[in-house]
Amino acid sequence: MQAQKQLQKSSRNKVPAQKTQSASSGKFLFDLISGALIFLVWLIVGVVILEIAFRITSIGEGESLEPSRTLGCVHMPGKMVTFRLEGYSHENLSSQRMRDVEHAIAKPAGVKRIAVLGDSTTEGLQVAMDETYARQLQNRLNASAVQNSRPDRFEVLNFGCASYSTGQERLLYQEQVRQFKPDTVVVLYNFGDSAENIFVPQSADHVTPRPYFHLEKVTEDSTSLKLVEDDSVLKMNAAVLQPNPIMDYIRRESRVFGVLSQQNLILSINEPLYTKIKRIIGKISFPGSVRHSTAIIHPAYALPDAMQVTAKIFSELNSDVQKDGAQLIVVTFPNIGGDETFEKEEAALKETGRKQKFAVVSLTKAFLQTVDSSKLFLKYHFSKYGHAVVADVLSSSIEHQKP
Amino acid sequence: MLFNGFTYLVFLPLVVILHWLLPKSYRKTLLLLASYIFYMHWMPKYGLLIFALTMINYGFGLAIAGTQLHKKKKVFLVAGIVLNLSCLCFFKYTGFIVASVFDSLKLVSPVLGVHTLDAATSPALKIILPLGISFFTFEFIHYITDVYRGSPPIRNIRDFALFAAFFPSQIAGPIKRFQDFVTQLKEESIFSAAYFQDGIFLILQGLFKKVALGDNLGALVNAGYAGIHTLSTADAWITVSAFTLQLFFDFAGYTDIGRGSALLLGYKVPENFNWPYFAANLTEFWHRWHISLSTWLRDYLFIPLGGSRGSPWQTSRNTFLTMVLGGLWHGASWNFVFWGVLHGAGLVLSKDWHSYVSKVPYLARLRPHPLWHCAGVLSTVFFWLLTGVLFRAATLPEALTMGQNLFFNQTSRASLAFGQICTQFLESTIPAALLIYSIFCLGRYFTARLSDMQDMQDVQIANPFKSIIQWTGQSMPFKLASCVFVAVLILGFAPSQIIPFIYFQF
Repeated sequence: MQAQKQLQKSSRNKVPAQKTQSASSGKFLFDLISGALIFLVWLIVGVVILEIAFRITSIGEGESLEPSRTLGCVHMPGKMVTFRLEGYSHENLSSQRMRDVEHAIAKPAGVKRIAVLGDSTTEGLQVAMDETYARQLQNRLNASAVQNSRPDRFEVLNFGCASYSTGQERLLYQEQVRQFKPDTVVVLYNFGDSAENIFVPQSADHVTPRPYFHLEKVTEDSTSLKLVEDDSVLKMNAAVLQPNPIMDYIRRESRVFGVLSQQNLILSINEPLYTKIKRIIGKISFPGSVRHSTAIIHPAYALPDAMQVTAKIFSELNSDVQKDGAQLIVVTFPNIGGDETFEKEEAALKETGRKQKFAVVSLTKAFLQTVDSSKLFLKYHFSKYGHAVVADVLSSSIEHQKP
Repeated sequence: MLFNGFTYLVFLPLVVILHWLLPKSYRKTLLLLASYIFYMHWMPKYGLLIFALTMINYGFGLAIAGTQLHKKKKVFLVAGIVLNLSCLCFFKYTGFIVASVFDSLKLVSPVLGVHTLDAATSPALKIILPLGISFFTFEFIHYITDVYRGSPPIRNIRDFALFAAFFPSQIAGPIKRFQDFVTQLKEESIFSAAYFQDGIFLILQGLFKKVALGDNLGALVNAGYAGIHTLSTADAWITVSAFTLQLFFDFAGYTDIGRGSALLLGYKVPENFNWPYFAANLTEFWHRWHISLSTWLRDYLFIPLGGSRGSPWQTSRNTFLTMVLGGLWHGASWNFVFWGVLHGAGLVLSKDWHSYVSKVPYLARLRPHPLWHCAGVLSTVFFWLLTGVLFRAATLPEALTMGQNLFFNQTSRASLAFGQICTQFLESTIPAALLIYSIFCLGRYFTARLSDMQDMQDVQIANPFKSIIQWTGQSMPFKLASCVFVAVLILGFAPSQIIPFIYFQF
């Protein structure tokens, strides 16, 4: 009887306890969800405030490139770029994806067009657009024409794009530059350009998505070689490179995205630990996510000689340019430190130029002859004074080459 | 390891998580281990130096406390101080002493008819300064002196080693007092949400000061000093003003990160700055700037020299000597000696001026006026700004060139037209960062005032205001979102390169 009473008592006590437990777990769940929602709302408010603040202060506007399935990357048309990584510039890219003002595709009568191609050095985001060698070259040539009472008018178009290899420059010529009908095509050849043309075995998460090149025999018995484009890396990254309206919009418009993207770049360059952690996270396979591979990818052909491939690219670019009735001038980056590998590359280019009849101009002498040569560079790129020296060398070269 | 580097961003959360997950008895060992990893990350061999100094000073502490004979105590104390100072001198001042002796010989040699040194340059010594040596040697001196003065020594060697190596204050101070630290070590550290919240706040505030302001101002100052021979008058003023701000934001920011890191681990380290650029005179300035150094210099240099107990002349002499040695502590060069001389003279004159003002009735009446206060603040900042030229310039001739640019620019650059440095300043993110920091400070000031009013209950605050302040103060999701907001804001202002702490050289 006593035990029965106790049982009844304990069962009477148990019911409210269970109720309290389920009520408290329900409250916890409610608190958690409402907390997460409040966090999300404040996060959105914060992002909006940051977007406005960054827009006013021109922060997070360093992003200038977007993915391209054929070239790896291209400039975003009409994008406002504020560049502060090295030097400073704050200007719009052109609607034709050039680091330049707007140019009509049709060449105006009486105008000689010069297209300049190259990497970040030619693009010149480190200085104002008016201070790039492309613009200074145009000013010098026009001033000289006026001074010498010549009817010539010059228009220089800047097609320089950061990270481009010679191979990408050649493809850009075919895709875009030739429709502007330039009379002269200038390519600034930089350190590392040659190595970027070939695909060396490397891990999948390290390889830069861009077209690579190698040489193949024309026929089995033939000794002559043809240039072959290897787009396997572009295909491998097709998912990332294909147009994505939402991502493209964010990349173009979001300053917060610009900040995070720039910090990602800075940390990837400066902090080895960051790269390691990113690689570890990349290895983790989440359900439904694309697993990054760190396996070494080998090309399906023997490792080509980089300079041989580069010389061939220049030969083919030159024949394209000549077919279009224009002339090619290759300018080599100033080799102030006397780098032996680069000296050999310059020599090989000069030899190709001699055979294929295009000019190869070195900037080394002009840079070394400048009195205060320390002013010619910011950190890695030309300062406005460096750009001026390049413009001087090119204007004199173009004027001397006039038929 | 830099507080503003990515490695620390990984290191600190790992240490904090492990610290609170481990049983209490293992926490101090973990902190000690973490502190040595932190210190040896840059140059592992210097871990041995701090270890050896820790052991020796631990021994001196016990020896001083263990002996009853006053003379013996004094011998141990003097031996300890000499050893610590010798170590500091060897690493920090050997190069300076050798160069100074060599330059003196070079000056004297033509008089003596010896010409062998004419074309010679000072021998270059490759002594790398161990990080934070100026801070931890001062902590050791404080420890043995206080034990000599009667404080009980730290008997637990792990606790003593942790006091010496505690990573949040190891490299940039503040110079801790062992009594405060040991009290915290003895108390069982319990996780405190308030500490944690304050810690995160201090870290974010410090990062903004260091990265968004200090580092960007540093780039401007470097550009100014790199082109010192072509600076216009206006650009020279911008450069020295920028350095004045850089010095504060860099040092105060780094200290905030250290203090915040300590709070995440449940420890409090003292404040080091209290709005120094609002000080109305030089004496007040030194009570607000690098407080832990100022109080150290007071307790272990000024007072042992006689303090203000003697005649006015003796007090002035002691003040002057303290500041000259304080100047030399900041760096091993004649620039810092002269900087110390100027600050010593400035402090003496400032005190004399104030006693003069209190004697002259007309001036004494003007003293409480806000304009008098403003004039005091401006003149103190102006003095600090000008002496900052000696602090930043690499050599005395460079400091003189900057001085010439500021006041006697006779060339075509003498215009007040803004040049390259002004353009760089306007193109940078510094104006926006300064504006944001000012808004933040004003916000903090008014929130604190509202909260004070609320406490006093004599002013009715408008209800919506009150509820917003209360709600934002309590809502965890709001706080988390704010942290993300500030972190992205800092990233937006961060320069492309990680710049070390400016006081590393000291």
